[in-house]
Amino acid sequence: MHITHSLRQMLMALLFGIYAINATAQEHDIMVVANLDNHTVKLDKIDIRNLFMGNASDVVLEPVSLPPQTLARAVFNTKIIGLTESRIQSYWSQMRFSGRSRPPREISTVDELISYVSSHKDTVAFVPASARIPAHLTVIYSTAKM
Amino acid sequence: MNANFNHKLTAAVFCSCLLVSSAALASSEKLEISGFGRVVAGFTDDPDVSFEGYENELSLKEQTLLALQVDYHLLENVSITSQLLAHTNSERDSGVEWLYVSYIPHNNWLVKGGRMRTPFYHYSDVIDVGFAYPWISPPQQLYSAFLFNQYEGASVIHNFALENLSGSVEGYYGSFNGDTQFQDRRDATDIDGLSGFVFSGVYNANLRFRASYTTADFSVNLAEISAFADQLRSVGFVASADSLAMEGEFDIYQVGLALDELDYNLAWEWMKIESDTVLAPNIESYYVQGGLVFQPFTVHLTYADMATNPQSAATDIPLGLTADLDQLFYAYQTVFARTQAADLESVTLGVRWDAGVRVAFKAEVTHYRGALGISTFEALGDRDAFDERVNLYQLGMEFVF
Repeated sequence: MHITHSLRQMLMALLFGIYAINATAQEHDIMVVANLDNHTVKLDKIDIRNLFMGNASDVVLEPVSLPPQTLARAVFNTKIIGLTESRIQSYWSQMRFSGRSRPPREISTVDELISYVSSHKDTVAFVPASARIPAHLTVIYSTAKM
Repeated sequence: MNANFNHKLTAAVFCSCLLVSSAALASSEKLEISGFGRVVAGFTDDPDVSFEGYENELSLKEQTLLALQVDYHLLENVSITSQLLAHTNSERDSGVEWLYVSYIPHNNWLVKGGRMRTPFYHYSDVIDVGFAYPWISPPQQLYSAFLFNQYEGASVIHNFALENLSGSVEGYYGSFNGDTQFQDRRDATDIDGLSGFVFSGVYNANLRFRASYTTADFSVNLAEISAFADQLRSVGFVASADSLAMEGEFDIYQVGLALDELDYNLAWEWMKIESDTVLAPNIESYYVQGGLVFQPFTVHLTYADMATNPQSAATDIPLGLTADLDQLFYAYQTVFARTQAADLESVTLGVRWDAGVRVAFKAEVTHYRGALGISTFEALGDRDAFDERVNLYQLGMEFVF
């Protein structure tokens, strides 16, 4: 277990790479926000993973993502999905080219992403924990509380 | 790249452009274009046999390919998908691999109709999408042992969520009229009443499983063998003729498990083919695979095995009576031996380097142990010269766009 833990630490360091320099603890946390009528909804990690990996889930929300090679996505991949970006890309190539499902829509910046979720009901996205989000969006999960 | 490939590629690109431009006129919002490709080079270290088209000299043509996928959304829940593929291997058809209409009647339901890939095993329907799996050549014991890969029909998929389990059930029905590939040969094949179901899911976010069952009636027209069987039948050796029959029913059972973590992965897949004919004998295959991730590299090791249950040759041709009958006896034994499958064991060590978000390079070496057989090794000269051991070396580049 100890070896696995060390490997994980090494991997995290590699994943964050140069981004880690000068990064505060808050930048290594993300929150998952959704545009919902019911503001009391909280989801667990498995629900969120299912939403973003195209698996069936109890909640029906449209996932929206940041592009690969953004820090928030690296954090989300590591802490929520539990897979590397390359493994996720390989998974989506299987889903797309076998006609089963498509990867989430990608929006290039955090501001545009928040604006998209703000104006579309039943959408969900992950953003850095430090991001300012409009009051009508609901934080359904945060890694900062872990 | 040879001229033939260029020709096929031009044709595929031309077809896609036609599709794309006519669809684009309607609306660019509704159109999605994506694709994948691979460049694979490989050779074996044994001059006595060929294996999956590979011989003892470097070849780029066995698995190199380029494909374009066009998805056109007719309505919010109805779309048309076409996948066009140009292949450098002359034994593989280039052209329309997939062409189907999909309809989502409800969030958890997906109905598809048209030409699709047969979902025998975990990677069967993406066998050309090398980017989707760790190897250059997925374990041959499962992925090449029975090679007709398309069907025309319909498929219904239902997704469901239960506590920590997210799963799907697929049922499909169809037929296939085309060619089955055995090594470098292609033989006309009719598959009727192809039906199956696939149960797959993810438990606790990282443990995937898959179980499936497929059944169909098939008939393969191996011209020279059928002609010989007819000849045997005409002179009264019915049992011998029947033993070369190329039609019947098959059932395929499959089970697989895979665990994916950030720093390692493990996978196991098993299948069994049951059939009542000589040509598709009872086969049981499995592989176990483990990989360690040192981002951006993944090093993986796979052990795979295929056990066949040999059929017995018929005994109605007497030996030692006349020279003519002796000749027929030996001719029958030779033909019968050629239809037999052989066991195959292999160990693969490979590395995948994810150089970019959508590009990966791979290198792998596989050590095979097995005899000459219909889905294993084909003799290039003297059948007795083969020592039943071959190493296959491959390098590849995989990309998606």
